[in-house]
Amino acid sequence: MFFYIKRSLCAAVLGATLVAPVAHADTTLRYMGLSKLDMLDPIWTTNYGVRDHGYLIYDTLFAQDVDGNVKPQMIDSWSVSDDQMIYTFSLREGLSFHDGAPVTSKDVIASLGRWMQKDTFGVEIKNRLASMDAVDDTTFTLSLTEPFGLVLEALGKTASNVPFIMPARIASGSVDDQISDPIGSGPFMFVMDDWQPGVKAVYEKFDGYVPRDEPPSGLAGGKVAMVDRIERVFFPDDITAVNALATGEIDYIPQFQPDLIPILEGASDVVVKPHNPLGQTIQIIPNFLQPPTNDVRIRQAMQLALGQEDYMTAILGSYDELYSYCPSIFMCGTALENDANSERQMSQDVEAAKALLAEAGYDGTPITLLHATDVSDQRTGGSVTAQRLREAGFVVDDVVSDWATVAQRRANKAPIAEGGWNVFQTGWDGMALQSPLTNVYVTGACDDAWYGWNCSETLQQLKQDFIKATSDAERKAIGEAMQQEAYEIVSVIMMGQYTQASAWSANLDGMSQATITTNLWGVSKAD
Amino acid sequence: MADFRKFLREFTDGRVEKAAVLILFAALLISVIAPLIYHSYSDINPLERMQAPSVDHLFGTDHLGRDVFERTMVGTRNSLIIGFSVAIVTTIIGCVLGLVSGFISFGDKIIMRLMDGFMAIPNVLLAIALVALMGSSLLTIIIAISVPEIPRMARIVRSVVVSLKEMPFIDAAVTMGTPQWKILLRHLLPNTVGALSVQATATCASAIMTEAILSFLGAGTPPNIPSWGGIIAESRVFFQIAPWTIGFPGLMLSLLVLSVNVLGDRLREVLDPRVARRRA
Amino acid sequence: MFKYISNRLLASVPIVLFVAVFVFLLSHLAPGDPAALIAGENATPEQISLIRDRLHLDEPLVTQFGYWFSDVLRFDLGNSIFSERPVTELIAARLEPTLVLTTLTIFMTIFLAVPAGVIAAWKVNSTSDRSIMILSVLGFSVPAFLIGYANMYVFALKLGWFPVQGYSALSDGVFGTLRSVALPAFTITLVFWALVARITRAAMIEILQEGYTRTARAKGLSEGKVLFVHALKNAGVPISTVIGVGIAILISGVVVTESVFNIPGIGRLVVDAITQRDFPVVQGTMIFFSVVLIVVNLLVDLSYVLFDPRIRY
Repeated sequence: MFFYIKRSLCAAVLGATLVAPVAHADTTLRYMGLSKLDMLDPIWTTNYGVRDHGYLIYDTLFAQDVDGNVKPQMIDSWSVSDDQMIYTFSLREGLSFHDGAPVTSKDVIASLGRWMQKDTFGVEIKNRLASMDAVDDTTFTLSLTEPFGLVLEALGKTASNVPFIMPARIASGSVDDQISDPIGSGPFMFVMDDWQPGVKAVYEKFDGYVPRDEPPSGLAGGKVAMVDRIERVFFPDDITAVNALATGEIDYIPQFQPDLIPILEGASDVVVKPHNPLGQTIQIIPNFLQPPTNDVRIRQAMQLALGQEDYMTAILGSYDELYSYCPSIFMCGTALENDANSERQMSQDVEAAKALLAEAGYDGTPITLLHATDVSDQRTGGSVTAQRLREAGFVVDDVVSDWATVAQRRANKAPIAEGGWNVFQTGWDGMALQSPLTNVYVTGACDDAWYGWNCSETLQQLKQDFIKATSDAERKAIGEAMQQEAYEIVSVIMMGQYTQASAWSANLDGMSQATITTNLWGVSKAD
Repeated sequence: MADFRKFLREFTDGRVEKAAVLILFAALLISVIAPLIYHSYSDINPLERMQAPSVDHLFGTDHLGRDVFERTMVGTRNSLIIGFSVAIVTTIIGCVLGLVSGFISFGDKIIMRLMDGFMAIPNVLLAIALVALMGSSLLTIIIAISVPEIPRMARIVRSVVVSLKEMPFIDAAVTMGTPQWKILLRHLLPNTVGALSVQATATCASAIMTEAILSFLGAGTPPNIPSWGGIIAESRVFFQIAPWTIGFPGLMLSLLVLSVNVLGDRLREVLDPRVARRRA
Repeated sequence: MFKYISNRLLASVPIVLFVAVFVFLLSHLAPGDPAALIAGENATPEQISLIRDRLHLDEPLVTQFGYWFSDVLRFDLGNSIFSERPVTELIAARLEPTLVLTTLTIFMTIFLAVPAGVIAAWKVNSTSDRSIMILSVLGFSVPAFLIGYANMYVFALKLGWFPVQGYSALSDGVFGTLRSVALPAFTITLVFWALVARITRAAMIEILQEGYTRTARAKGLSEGKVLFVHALKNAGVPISTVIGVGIAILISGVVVTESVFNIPGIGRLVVDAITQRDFPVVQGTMIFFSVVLIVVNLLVDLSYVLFDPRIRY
């Protein structure tokens, strides 16, 4: 034994080129997961990595196509009563779960019930819900206590938490317990035995899946599994993943730092394209409760001091096709995109910021900035924020820690001395920001609002108006009014819209519609 | 004094040792002067990012457009502070613990069990956990690197003390009724200097390296306090695209650590009578 | 001998206890909320507090320690609060890559460092001695992750001899496994061999001056035989000591290379657990490491018997 190891070792040390046959079938697609997959329940967590996993193994009633329209997915036909109070849905023929059981109304009702308890959009339905009833095995109704124009938007939402459909036996468990049996009815099955939490997740094609007839578009359309096996691997280091793609060890990197693009430019069999067009934003959140950011003029001065260009170039460098300066709180390229009240937001004016600070009587109370240094965007963005605020005359207390600490501290409403804060950076994506019901910066819900606790009765009223609105034009007008108010009180400072680079091996086909990371149906791999 | 000169002459007799001393002095000089000259080392300038070395930016710029030369120069001070502080802190605490446990038997049991406990946790992992606990600043990094190093120092001192305890001159001092603290300070402490200084140099070098590893694992110095390890770790993904961002600070780090290690070796040779005899 | 081993093991019980309490306090007193990380970056405060309740995170530390420690006494290290998998299972799944990596590293180190140390001692103070010593320190003076990237660039990207990353399990073939860990092992070896080479050299210098090697030479034994059989056998004691001490250094190298080469080993498991405050995993793996270190040191001490017949326990 000892001798054997020695010999193989020498061979290894000398770099024997006797390449061992790589043990995988040709239709295994390996890709870099954007985050570790160490949880499995997309209702239990809002983590986007888990949502992406969810889209592979679960199916949804409705889904957004590439233009953002909500299209039926598991649903065959549906109707609304004249008073807008009763929705009747019927499921497509032949849908079944990975364990062979057919998808029934009972499963759908249990799944929606569990989702409504947890999701912020789902809660809006729950608050108006009279009942959900199974008419027969494939038909069910959803009855409301008052009209709610966004039922389909909610059922087709793509931001976490997505209303994935699970078997009733799993979904009827408590929402406070994470599910442990990832059985869905989606195009791929989760291979539990091959799951290494935090390292690797493996999926196999589900032969019993009946796709829609339409071509795939965004998350809607026919979801045809065209590879036998998908391996999602997590890489602690971007550069390792990029090099692995260059040598063909993996097939696809959904997102990576564009600075690394030159490494792949030498490789002829690799395609580099911008990722998901809606993309992400960087947001700076001021705390409405604690001085000095409880003063609206101080917040407006911050709005003036910070500029999108700094953040975008610092993170994306010279790859300017990957980012845009976007004035809209709902992001650009969305239905509610607008530029109301965005002068301060879009201009970077140190002198005006200084003047506003003087007017507000800023006394040099430090701005406590929560700065996570183990997340690349936040490490970089935090340095930009600190520097630009200082240049505008702010005193900044740049509190450096890891993300786990920031995630805890941002929930603290207390004064700075008791662990509170003034400013932190985060990054909701376009999926969430496009709708006033999921965009946390236009709630104005004060104590009940998201971190920062933005507070405005106007916004609260506008949200109710939006829910009752019946036409697109009306919604658009309300959206503008919301942005007008949100930028006035500075519930958020939007720091630009961007998308990361994406790269895949040239023998993959059908990648162009993969707008969401794990949207890997319709993708085939040539030999 | 003459002894010291002889020591110095012997200490620096080789060419390699001379070079090492020179490098160490240069680094000390830089660490004193650089912070006085350079103030914009943390200033980001996105328009000038990732530039290759030029007259304006001797070592080029990094992904935030910061001047790598200025950061490296100022980083010299922070890296040296980390190296020296860790060496000093571990020596002092390790020395006290080692002396006490080697000489006072009831202290021995408690202290050595505690030290065993600390030694049973891998250094780097303990350090990361400590940084997570205390947050990241120059001080917390120094503490986090020191704590795992202390047990080793304490054990070295203790082993010297234990072997000396049986010596006639200590026995004599005890029978003469010399107070314990006097025996500790007068007789035992001076005899540990050799072993301690060798270990301290090694610790100094390894602390600078450990800080680099902590930075790599995301638990290093904050971005506004550049250290060599931090600069290298932050730019590491660009090593194929912008090698200058890690090349220059990496070279300085390696040269310094190499010098400290070479001097540590020399120290061992000069201070260890057995080695010295052999050389003669 | 048996008595010695059982005494040693008995003496290590308080050490493990100390580690348990210390690591528990260390992880729970650190700021940072695992519930906030479980819930996700965009979660609402309500969602987070539900998870906190569920994980008993708001209960007093003593109570939480009680829950955990009563499990530990039953050899149950608890479950990860993220994946809800048993910590023992997670460790077991990550053990193989780390074990293979360290074993290969130790072999490579011995093959590289011991001959170098012997040659240096044999030609003490010569140019070759000096160059070997300086060369060995060189590995010590470059951060391990940089050595790793350089190795990856040269041997995987440019020459294509080894894969860039990943681990191929032993069950898929020993050769593939060795190929997948060759570069990371070589990387740690470059750091680790300095230590072993220097101790070997120091031990050999001492031994070469002693009576019996001179006798052996006088008896007309060839220089090679004197060096490698007689002398090296006696140098076994200090060398295995340094491997015992060096395990700590080895572990830090393993943590780094596992990240660079994407090897799913225990080192990454711990680092990830610390950064996301997965308390049971942090505590469980730290206890695991302390037990391993204790056992390795015991084995090292026992190996003295093998190398030096004069030592008896």
